[in-house]
Amino acid sequence: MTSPERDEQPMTGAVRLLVIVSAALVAVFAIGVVAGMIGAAMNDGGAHSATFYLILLAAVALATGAIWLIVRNRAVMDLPASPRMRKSRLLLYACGVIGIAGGMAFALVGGGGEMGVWTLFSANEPISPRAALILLSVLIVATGLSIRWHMLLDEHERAAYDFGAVVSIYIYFVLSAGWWLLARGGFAPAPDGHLIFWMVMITWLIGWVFRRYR
Amino acid sequence: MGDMNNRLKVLRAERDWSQAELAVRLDVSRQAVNAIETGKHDPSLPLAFRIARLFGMSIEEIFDDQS
Repeated sequence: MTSPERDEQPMTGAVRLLVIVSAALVAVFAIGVVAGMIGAAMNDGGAHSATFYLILLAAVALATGAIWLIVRNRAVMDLPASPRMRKSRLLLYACGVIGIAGGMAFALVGGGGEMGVWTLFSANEPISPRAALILLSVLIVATGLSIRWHMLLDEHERAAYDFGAVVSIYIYFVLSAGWWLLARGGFAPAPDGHLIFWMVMITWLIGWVFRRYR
Repeated sequence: MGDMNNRLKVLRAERDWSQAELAVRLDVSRQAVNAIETGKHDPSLPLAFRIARLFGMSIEEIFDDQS
């Protein structure tokens, strides 16, 4: 008989994926804290208080724990054996890596000014021309990879993606028209197209993941 | 939810295939196999034919629309 271990339930996969993403964010934060504290200690030179070392130890423990969680759950990210599915998954990972690299490059060139990466969620804050070109390059490359990924999808993934798209188009319709009406009636400020864009994208992502792993 | 019942899980278990192994044979993801087995996704006609050919049966012998 087929053992339950070999047939992992989809929801377990979704939870593991969520654990990996959360752990990665925690690890980046904790490593940043450790790097910052070590940098400060090297600049200061002198002895530091017990609190300093306690915080440093806690940050190291946090980073170690987060990395351990990623390693423990890494199986969910294994590539499928089917050649078409493998290629499809690789393209998805490539899009993720390019997105992260673009975000890091954006942060490194100081594209967001004082607001940092949060500028990306604002419609009005200016970004530097260099940062705009970096993000535009990411957009073009990721769109190309995404089109190729679309051509390799299996029908279940496509159905999940389409479900997310339908939900998000409803959100777009209700949100943009509703906000416009509220603004016209004097109940709300003018609609923020950029904010609506992000809400539509996030809804689409939630719908897609929900349908894929439910 | 899908509208059909199917015998995919039983047929797969008879051959001692995991969902991942069946997914490779059908060139779909493991999640797709799970979704079909649990009735959350009804396969398209081309995929239903691939499944039927793989098990050497007709589509009607595997899928049943009498919920």
